[in-house]
Amino acid sequence: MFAFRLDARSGVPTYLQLVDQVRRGLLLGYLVDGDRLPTVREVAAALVINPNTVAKAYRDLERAGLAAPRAGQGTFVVGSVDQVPAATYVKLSHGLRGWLRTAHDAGLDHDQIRALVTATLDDDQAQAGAA
Amino acid sequence: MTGEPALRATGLGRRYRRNWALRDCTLELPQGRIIGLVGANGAGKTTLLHLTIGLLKPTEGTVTVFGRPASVAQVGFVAQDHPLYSGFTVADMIRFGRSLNPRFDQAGAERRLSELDIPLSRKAGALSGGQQAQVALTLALAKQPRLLVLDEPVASLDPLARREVMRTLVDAVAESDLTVLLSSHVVAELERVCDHLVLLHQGRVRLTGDIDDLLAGHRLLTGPRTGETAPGVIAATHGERNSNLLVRQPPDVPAHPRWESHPVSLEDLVLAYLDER
Amino acid sequence: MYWLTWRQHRMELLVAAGLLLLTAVPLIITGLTMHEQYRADGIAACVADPAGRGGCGPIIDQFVQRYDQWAARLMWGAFLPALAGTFVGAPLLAREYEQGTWRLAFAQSVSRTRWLLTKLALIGTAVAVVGVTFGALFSWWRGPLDEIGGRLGATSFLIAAPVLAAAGLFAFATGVLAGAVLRRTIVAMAAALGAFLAVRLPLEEYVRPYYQTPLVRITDPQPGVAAARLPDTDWVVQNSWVDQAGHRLTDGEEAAIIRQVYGGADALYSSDARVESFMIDHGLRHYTEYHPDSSFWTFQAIEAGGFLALAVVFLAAAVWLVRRS
Repeated sequence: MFAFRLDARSGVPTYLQLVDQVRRGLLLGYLVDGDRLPTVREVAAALVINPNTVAKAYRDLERAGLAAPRAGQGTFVVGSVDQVPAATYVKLSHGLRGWLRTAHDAGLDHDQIRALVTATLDDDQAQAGAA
Repeated sequence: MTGEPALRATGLGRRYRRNWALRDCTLELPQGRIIGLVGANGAGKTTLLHLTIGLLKPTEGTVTVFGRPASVAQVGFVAQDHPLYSGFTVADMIRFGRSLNPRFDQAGAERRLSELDIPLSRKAGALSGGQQAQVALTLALAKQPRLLVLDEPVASLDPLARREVMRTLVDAVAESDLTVLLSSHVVAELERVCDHLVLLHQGRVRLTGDIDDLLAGHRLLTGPRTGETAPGVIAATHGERNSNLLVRQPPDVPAHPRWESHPVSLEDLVLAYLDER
Repeated sequence: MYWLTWRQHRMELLVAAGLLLLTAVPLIITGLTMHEQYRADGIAACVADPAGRGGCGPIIDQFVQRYDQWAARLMWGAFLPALAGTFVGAPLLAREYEQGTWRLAFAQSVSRTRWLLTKLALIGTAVAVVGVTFGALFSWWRGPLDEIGGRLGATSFLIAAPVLAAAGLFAFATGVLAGAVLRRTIVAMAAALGAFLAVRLPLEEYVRPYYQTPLVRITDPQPGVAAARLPDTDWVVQNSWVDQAGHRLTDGEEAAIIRQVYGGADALYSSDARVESFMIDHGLRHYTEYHPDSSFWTFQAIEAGGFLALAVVFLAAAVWLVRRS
């Protein structure tokens, strides 16, 4: 069964952290299509958080198409088949961290970096679409 | 589940001799939530909780629980310092609960206690603080209440015991449609578990609402120190040349470009309102 | 609630039962002996025959003296009600408030009124039963002595069943009320004891003699009879002299005469032969107010009734106080 965790100090809302962990889990192969996610009660008891928060995260996952409930049986992962192999993930992550350092040194804050990345991604997608 | 609020207080107040411990308290608390009641010691938290469950009679105003007057039968309660009869064994305490409550889930209580490794034959006075809190909580839950009220349930407990008591609590909430109202003067332990907040200061309600909404509706603005302030300032700290302002602002309103906007933590929010004169 | 009341107060009940047992064993043993001797030595017959009573004096005195010590010990029985107040009544509410368990007890599905009334009924009944049992035991033991000396005197009256049980209930109620008001165990215990004594002691001196109007008897002085201490079952509440005109002498006048007769030394007892002679010479007679032994049950009913009424009032006050908060 998938193990969630909580970073109480990160400032990121709890339900977002849970959603994020499922996304990342899918990416890294910790979760595969058809896996059953722990029940709301199990997650709430394990992390000692409000069950409503877990329910909210699961609703978000359902809306994003990453999970689906099956009547009487629980919530199941609906995963994308393509996932990034761990080694590739680590290498790319490392390279990205280096680029981030450069961006910080140039004086960009996180919002500006995010805006730059989003703009570049959108650009890239547009070009790929045009091609 | 009907649409009745779990708790509705209207102009609720309680006076002891010359002092008002609580005054003009008007609140509506929704069902199915875990509601945190914060305030300094002596702010009126215990008074409000005792009025909620019918342990105290109001001097003025009314309070209803699920639409009916406060009654001890509907509500589970764990008082401050989780009192038990120290000469009773844990089994005696369960029998006590069964004797005084018609709807008492004895099997459930015994199961919960055995899962926690609390022996039924031990005297309540010989239990650790955390175990006593668990027994008191188990007794309150065994009443199968719709509203559970706890007065500083983890105040005197070590971190591990604190985590375990909260775990029992959230597990119970996940299991049934229970509404919880718990008080604390330590914000951090509430942040993890509560989704609704009531803030008491000097006997009056200063702030109440859904925690996510409250946090979205406030922000911390930092910027150069000027004579002007932003609207809706709750608290401000000033350096020689810079200021930090905690303001109440709807989330969709953009901040003035002069200010850097940061999200507010629950602790900062609570402290700001407690400081207000 | 029955189990809970037993569980919280079983120690008190066990101690009471133990005390009863500890008391009963020696009392039954000595009592059986005494009753036997009373009958076998002919004292019973002597006392029963009013005409021959005068001649019984010596053997009666001897008998009474032999059991004097035990009779005196029995007087401690009059303190038993105080125990009911201090150790049973006072902690009942005081301990719950002091230890904070009232927030547990009153937050259950049983209303605090029902909780309290049930406890008061069960424990009150137990107090009454224990009181009646002790009282019956004491009165049985005192049987012969009561036939000799009457039952209205303090040594007998206080430990008879109706008054003992009712005083116990009154003390219990005082303790419960003290606990409701003071909310601290030791303080409530002290207050209960104090309040009980404050009512009890004046009752002895000033109130009991007047439950009914005493009967009056005027007798001629008799110089020939030494000390005129005939065993008498009457309860004398007033002893003075009247002159020829029918006026009662004051204590001061009596004292002056006694000093005159004895040349300055004070006498304790005013029926000495010399005093009797003086009285004859001056036309003085004995004036006695008394209650006959037959008034015993009436007096018991009056005193017990009074204690019970007070107990009810105090308990009602305690219930009202507990409901009020």
